[in-house]
Amino acid sequence: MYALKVENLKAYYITSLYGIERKVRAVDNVSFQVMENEILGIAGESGCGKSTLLKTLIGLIKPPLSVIGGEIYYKYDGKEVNILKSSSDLKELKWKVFSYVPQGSMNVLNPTRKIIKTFEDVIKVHLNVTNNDEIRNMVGEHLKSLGLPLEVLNSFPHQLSGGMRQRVTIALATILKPKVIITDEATTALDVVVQRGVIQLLKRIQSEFKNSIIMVTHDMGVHANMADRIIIMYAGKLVEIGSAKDIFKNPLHPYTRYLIESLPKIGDKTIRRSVPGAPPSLLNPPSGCRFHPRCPYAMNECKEMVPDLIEVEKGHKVACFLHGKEVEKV
Amino acid sequence: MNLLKRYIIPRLIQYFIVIFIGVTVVFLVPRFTPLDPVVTVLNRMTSYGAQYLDPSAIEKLKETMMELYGLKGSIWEQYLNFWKRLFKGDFGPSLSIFPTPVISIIANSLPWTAGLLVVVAILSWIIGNILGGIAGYYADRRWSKVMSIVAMSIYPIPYYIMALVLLILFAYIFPIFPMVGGYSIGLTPSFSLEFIFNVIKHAFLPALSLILIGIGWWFLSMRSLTSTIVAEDFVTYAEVMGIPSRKILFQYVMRNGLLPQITNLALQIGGIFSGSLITETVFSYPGLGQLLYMAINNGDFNLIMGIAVLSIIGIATSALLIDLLYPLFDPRVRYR
Repeated sequence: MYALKVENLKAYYITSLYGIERKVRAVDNVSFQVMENEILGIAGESGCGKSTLLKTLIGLIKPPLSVIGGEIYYKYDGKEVNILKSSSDLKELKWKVFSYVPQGSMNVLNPTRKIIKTFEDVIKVHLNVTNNDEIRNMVGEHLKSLGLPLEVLNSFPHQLSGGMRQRVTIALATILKPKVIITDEATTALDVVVQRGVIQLLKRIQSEFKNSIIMVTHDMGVHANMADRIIIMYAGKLVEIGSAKDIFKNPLHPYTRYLIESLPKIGDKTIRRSVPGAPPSLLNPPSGCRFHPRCPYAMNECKEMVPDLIEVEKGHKVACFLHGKEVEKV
Repeated sequence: MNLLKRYIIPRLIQYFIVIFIGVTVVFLVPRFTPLDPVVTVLNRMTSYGAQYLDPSAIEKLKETMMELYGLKGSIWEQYLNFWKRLFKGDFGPSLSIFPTPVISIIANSLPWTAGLLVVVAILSWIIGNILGGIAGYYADRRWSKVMSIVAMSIYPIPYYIMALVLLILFAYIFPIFPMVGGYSIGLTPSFSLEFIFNVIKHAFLPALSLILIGIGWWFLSMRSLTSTIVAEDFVTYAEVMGIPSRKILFQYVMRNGLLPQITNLALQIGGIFSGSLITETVFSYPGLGQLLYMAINNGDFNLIMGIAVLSIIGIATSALLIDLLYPLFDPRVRYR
């Protein structure tokens, strides 16, 4: 059973300067599903559209970002709800069905209010609880279950360390026990010890509440540690999806192979190679397969046609002409 | 205790140093001007027909005046004397309205100025900031753009033109409000309802002219402050969390945007002790601005010094107050 289903999602940044329209195709025809009770990792270089994808998933679609096409369905009360269709549905789903831990949680807490006030705001909006004592008890219990000190509630954000702020944000995102937790670089900008704490916290929440986590990070080590399945994105497209084991043991797409090969391995002293070249501009992406200018196996058809995502093994899909000849239908 | 030692006492010391330096400068500046007030008065007396005074009488007169004006002795003695008198609230007699003490002249004008300008400062601060915050938060709405255009066209109007236009419109063409004065001639100041109503009626146009300009300024500055705060992560996150936009506007955006505005308000309130010359002139409103203008014209050193010292104390005190109260508004400066 899926908790979130994305179909043919296209989200572009459209700006117009002196009448010249520019389209940045940050998310281009992406489809995938997030199952219940799984951790899905999304990996890719900077600027490949990971954060844009997440923004659309949480309904944070503000100009210049606009969704050109596609659907995003969440499971809510046994029904499928498309958040792109109605904003009142989106409002209803927020925090109860999905929540979000943003990139760089350093500045996401209001600097002039105590932490408890933000919890109060969230709970009052979504649960119709108005009694502050009741809310305090509820939040206190939640923090206790996450192993966070209760003192943070009466603190201001600047009085907390970076790691604690990140954990408070995670507590804030999980207070209503949402089905899907979407985290964007939740461990970036933290030192490795704190990173470990945050990862463990997320894992604990997941095993306790049995919800799904979508985890964006470009740290492949975190993916290896956490994710059940991994999505590899390249230049706004989904190029490979599979279980974490398949992705690490048997990467199919040349890009994924580069990513995995660049990781250090114990006992292997050969020099690690990175992907040659640089990611393409999404303003004017290459024709055909977007990876072909950097791909060592590029064939003629790669330059002209866009490969479709096909299932090679069970649950392991790849979009590459090396593995199948299907052309993407637009 | 720690709070007192690390936060309050250093600021109190700073406060007294500022006042000390300010008052010293006020004491020194008139003494470095080439005008000699005693000679000025003597000349005036001679031109009024006192040519036939005995030279020894003139000498005596001079000495008495020197003492009255605090000009007797070396500059150090004068300085010490000046402070001694200051602590007693004595700025000496006014030279132009001799021999009324400066302090009572100021006491006559101060309520008018303070009453008008404090009300104006607070009203225009509240209205301007709320409107500016709303307009900055909903920056892409049509009404927000209209409001910005209105504020941008009101704010640059030279104040005296605005004041004159209001006066001509509402006191001459449509005589709704009185033209001159703080209250109608023939009324005696009292706390009766009639008198208070009369005062408000007289103060309405001066207040309106100041408030219009004030709102323009607060609106524009708050709107630009807000537009940067709206882009902050915590505002975006509050939106993602689904918190109602009214709450985001007041608790997240304005609460942070108002911090610098509070400082500005305090400084503005401190500054009212120098009066508002143009308002008082256009509307013939009794107040410190006109008083200061008259004092400068007449070389009335004692009166100038009195107003200047009051103004220094006013600004320093409100700066001190805001410094002490600021941690209540911004938790990040607490106990630092």
